[in-house]
Amino acid sequence: MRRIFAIALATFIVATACTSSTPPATGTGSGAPAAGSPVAGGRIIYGIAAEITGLQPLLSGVGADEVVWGQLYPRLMQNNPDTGVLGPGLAERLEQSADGLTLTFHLRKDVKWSDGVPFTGEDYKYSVEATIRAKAPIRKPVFSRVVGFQDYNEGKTDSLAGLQVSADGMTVTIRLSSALCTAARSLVSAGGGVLPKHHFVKDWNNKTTDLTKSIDSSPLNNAPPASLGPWVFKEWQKGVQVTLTKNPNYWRGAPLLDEYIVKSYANDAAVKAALLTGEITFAYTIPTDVEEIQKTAGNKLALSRATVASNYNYLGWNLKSPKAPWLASKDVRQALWYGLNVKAIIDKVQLGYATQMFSHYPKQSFVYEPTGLKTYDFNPATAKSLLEKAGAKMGADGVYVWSNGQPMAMRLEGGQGASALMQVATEQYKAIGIKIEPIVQTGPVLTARLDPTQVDHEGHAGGWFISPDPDSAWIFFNAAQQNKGNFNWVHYENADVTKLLDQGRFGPDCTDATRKTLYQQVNKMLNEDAPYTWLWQPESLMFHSTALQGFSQKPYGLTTSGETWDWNAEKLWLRK
Amino acid sequence: MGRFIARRLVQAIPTIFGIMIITFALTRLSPSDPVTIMLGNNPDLTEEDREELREKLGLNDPLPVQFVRYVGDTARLDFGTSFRHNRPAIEVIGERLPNSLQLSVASLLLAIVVSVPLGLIAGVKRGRIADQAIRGVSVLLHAVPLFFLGLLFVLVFGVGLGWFPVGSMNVIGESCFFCWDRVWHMAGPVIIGATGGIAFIPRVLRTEVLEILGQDFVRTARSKGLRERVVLARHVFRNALIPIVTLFGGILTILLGGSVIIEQVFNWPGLGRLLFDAANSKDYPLVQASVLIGSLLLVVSYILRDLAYAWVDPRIKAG
Repeated sequence: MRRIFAIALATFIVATACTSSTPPATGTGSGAPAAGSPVAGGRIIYGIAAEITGLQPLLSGVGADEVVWGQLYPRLMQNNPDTGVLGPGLAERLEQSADGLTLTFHLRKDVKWSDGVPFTGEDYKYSVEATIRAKAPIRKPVFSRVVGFQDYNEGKTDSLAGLQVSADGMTVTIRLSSALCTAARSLVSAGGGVLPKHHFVKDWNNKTTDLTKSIDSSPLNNAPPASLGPWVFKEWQKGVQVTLTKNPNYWRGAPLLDEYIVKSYANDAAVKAALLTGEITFAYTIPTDVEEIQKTAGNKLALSRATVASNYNYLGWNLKSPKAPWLASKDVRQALWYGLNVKAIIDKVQLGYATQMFSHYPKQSFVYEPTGLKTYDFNPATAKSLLEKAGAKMGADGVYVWSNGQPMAMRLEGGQGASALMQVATEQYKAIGIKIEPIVQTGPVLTARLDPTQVDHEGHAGGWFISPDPDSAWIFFNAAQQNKGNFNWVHYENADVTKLLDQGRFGPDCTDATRKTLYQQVNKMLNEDAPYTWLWQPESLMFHSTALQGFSQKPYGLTTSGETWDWNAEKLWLRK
Repeated sequence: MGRFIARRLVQAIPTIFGIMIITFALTRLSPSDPVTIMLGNNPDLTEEDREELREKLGLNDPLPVQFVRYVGDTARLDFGTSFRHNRPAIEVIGERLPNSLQLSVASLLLAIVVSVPLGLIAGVKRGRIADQAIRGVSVLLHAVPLFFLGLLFVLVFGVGLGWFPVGSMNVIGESCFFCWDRVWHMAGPVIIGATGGIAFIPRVLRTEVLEILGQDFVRTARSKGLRERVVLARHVFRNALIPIVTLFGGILTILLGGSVIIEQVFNWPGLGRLLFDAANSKDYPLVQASVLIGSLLLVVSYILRDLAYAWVDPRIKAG
């Protein structure tokens, strides 16, 4: 559940670290095959190293919260767990006009809320309007391009003009004021998930123009009254756990299990202890704990492995660093890649539980194309020749000297979890004549130091959780994303990349085929420019009770919380 | 009595105000932006959206303005709304405070029950094996960090032997506050929480006993022919316990401070864990309110200590 903490912290993660061990065989996402015939009943407990702070998607930006509300208030469409492509969910299909300005969702007709009330487009409309009028503006900007947003936001109208629901409630049409290729993915969320209008409307009516009223203070926010997901809210013991029971009206079929509990723990160590004592049924784990858990738990726990597409680790280089001006040179950045034995680091730091990466997009992405990507195989000689080509000369002490006479020494900053990576990188860079000073920082300090408004940093070890949409590169590598709070931390400015990213985001051609071409070019340019030294996609590791059947992980989660196991929650069952 | 309490409360105002200044300054001085943490890297959010949120949260105001608003709100018992929980900070704290107090009070009681006899025995059996053993254990407990003891307890008695639960307040499905299940779950954190007192009190008490044993009134009592047991119980132990009362306020400070660690290790959803998470997420209102409530509790504990001191030592009351 490290991922949930990470999402809360601006989705910035730090690389995990550990000591050497024998690398395991490469695995793919699969759990133990179901044994015997499924039986109904039982309770599963999911341990997470994070606290649940709220159950109202409109108001909460905390990733751990989505682990719960994502099961109650699903989005209109869901990620295909294997490809990440947006697929059917509450909506059977989506149509988008040629100009990209009109989106039409066709809803399933057989969907009911857990209390038996039919689901309609009015629930979606209510949720969107509640988001726009919410006092907490966390999710509001998602709808800023919908026609009539400003008027509804300012209370001039009692309905969002650009969002129409058909008379039978089964078709939702959304008109945008300007094209946004990522609109479909953003708009399916309805500000997080779809709320049951028939309950919430008693606390806040979406027809009001009184801006002093909002859904923010509804007592139902933390006591979800009805669900469209596999589970129904039962109880929330604050700081301890949330208990959910099965939804007999779930449109994919009622879950086999009776109860699902999400239990909060203070940290990964507490989750591990709970796994070992059998207090919880399943949880994420980290590479360094795998061996110990397997030895201690014996055949009580099974390991599920999956190469997920949602996150990667990297070393980032500040192209505008005044203390390390050589980082502006592409040759130097490529040398830093050639000088790093990434495969050896994966074996040492990730204990083999990772797949090497060469640019921003993971292999599972529909835009990934390996042709033309440099693999930067470890080659110290090439690294040194690139450094010399860039103007560096070897100094008497074995450290290269830059053309301005400055020794090529710099800081590499990262979180506690990246300390092993930074240590190994320091040793390897020393071998090619670059001196590194590894510095461990706390997450908030590191995030503040790397803000685009700051340039007093050279290198950092980090990781990102990325959306299945290829637009994910826009915030990290678009030259315009260098304001306070933005994420182009390395100050990367390539006009071609920025133009391609803008075209991929704003159109005019938002078709998958065109976007695929654009992002493939972006991927190659990033691979060539090397603003990051891309390292690996970590495997998602989960331990689960061997009694739990049908459990496995997929590369993409159904929700944005990063969960990789909940794609078939209704089919999980416990062996008696 | 009433005047004494009122005077102490008035005297506490500058202390509380000072704590408010320090807490406010520390939260603002620490790097990173709460809005960035709250909003994450959603590409749909523009700089204007982030600014709007900063404005709504009052983070764009000059620090003196923010501080004056904080003090004014606090004076009206408005502790603000938690950034993360989207609920009044006092409401969130109110859910956790009883859990922390339950742990602290139980740890304090255990520390007293174990420490007082040990301290008295060490004093009376000066230089003998019992004294040396008690002093040795006391120094050992003092030297080992709480978090290490806690993790050791979890590893040995939780994971290894399975005698105690490894965390949480109740078994799944239970949520009682006073019940055997809760006592069972409290065992680990209470034992580890009490070690601070057990490491400290016996040494202080031993010194007191030794000092009192050399006093004239003890010699007089013995010369009157009183049995040694009576001399110890009536004259030595009773007088030796007086300074211990003074320590209780300090011990409560240690217990509440230690709760941040204990609650992390034992997964106890109390004020300490809440404060830790709030500080990590830059939840200013929750950090400020947690520290303030904790400080008020300490002030109250010091007042209670002074009252107890006056009660056990008539000379204080007379003075």
